[in-house]
Amino acid sequence: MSLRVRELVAGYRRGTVLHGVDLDVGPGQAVALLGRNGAGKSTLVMTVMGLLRARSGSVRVDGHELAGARPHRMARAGCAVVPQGRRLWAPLTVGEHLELAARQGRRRGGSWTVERIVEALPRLGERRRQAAGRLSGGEQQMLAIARALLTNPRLVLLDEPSEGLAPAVAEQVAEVVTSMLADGVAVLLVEQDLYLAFSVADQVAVMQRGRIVHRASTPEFRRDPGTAHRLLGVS
Amino acid sequence: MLTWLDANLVSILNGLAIGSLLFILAVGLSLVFGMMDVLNLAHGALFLAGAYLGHLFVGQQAGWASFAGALGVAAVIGALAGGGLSVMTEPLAHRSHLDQALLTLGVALVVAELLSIAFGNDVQSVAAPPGLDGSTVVLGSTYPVYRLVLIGIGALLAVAVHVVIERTRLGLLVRAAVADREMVSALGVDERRVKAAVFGIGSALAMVAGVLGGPIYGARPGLDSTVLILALVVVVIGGLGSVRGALIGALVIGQVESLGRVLLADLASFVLFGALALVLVLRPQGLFGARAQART
Repeated sequence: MSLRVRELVAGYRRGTVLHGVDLDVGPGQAVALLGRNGAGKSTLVMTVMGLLRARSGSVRVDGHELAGARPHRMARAGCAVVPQGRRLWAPLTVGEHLELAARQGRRRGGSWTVERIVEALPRLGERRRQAAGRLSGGEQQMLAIARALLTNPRLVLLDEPSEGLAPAVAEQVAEVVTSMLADGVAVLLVEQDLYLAFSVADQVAVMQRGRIVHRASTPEFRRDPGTAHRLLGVS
Repeated sequence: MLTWLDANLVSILNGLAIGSLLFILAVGLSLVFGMMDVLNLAHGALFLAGAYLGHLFVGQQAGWASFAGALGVAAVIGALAGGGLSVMTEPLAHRSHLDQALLTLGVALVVAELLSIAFGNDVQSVAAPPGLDGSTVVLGSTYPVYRLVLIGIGALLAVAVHVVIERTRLGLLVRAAVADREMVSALGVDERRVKAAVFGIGSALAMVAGVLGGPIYGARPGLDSTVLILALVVVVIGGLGSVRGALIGALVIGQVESLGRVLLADLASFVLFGALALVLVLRPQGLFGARAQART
């Protein structure tokens, strides 16, 4: 499915964060959203998902205008989110997370089932009876991704999935994202870890002060360290 | 010990009966607040409306049919009123607790005033159903049968609510929404429906509690704010959004209100808020706070 964002303006009571964002994610595409802290990446994710109300602009999913729609309508249109900080339901068990998400996923139909998730992420199967709040950081991230996948989405918004994880665990996250892509799911990936972002994404978009200021294919972007340095402050 | 128990048995039983009633009242308040962040100050007015409904149906002539009828009608009207309150608070969903509190307080004042216009300012009594209006002997003390029945109803409802919350699909949804309701809606669940359902059930329970409390408290102006404050204290002590917390909190406050007033007669007006202050100092999130962290 395709996501088409145009001139999106949104923010919090204290002030506007997104000053007219234009962004496209094509069917099955993986776009890495890069930018410094405070550029508005998370705000964009939250606004696209409907968790933050858009002030103006357009969010189209497969051509349907959904700007300002509530989150459950975005979910029913095929979007899922793995938010920053994971936002699991801490007192609920791993099994309950999977069941609740799968219940929504079954309604929509698709290939992800609890059995398949547990096969792909065996750690979650082992910890089925444990409260989500007592999992390790990596396990929590896996559960947050599993929860999103079980709704059988066609676009997943991933907000800093490697945050706070050891490199080996971050690599596992990258593997899961790659298998999502192999399934034909489109991905918008917010990521500070450039190595992880480059290994997953085929397109790169850079945000600065609430706007997309640069777009390139991943190989193009990697050949152009001057731009990366200017926009991201890294070499 | 035994003589102490003997001397205070009636107070302890009274505490259990008050606790039962408070649990039925507070569980809805706790779930609506814990899950949807809506502080429903009209909860006490619903209780009072239930009490007057009982008076209207039962009055002085006690009867099983009229009492059961009052309970049924209270449940239906309560559910509808809860649905209405849920819709009314929807536009304020992204505003502060204070704005919602002002709205529901306004509703509470209007309802209380309408009830006082309709039923006057006198205490209206409600008779217990026949067979339950007498007294029996419990371990050597005479005790009203109706209050024993109320303790039983409270226990049954506590079990029923526990089963619904812990074992059913709706319960799973409610627990998830208490922990983080935005993530529930991001799965594709229309949170307004869950909110309306929980609001409806909670409000139905509040009105049913009003009918059940009728034979003990009667119906009178001012009862609404008295029970609202008690229920709020229960919710704060037990922790937001926790059924177990509401149960423990209700039992504690029941005893504080009954046994506490007897044992600490000099401090009678202080013990309730003393207990509240103690919990807030020692465990600000309540004894069983179910929410991971406060949302801003």
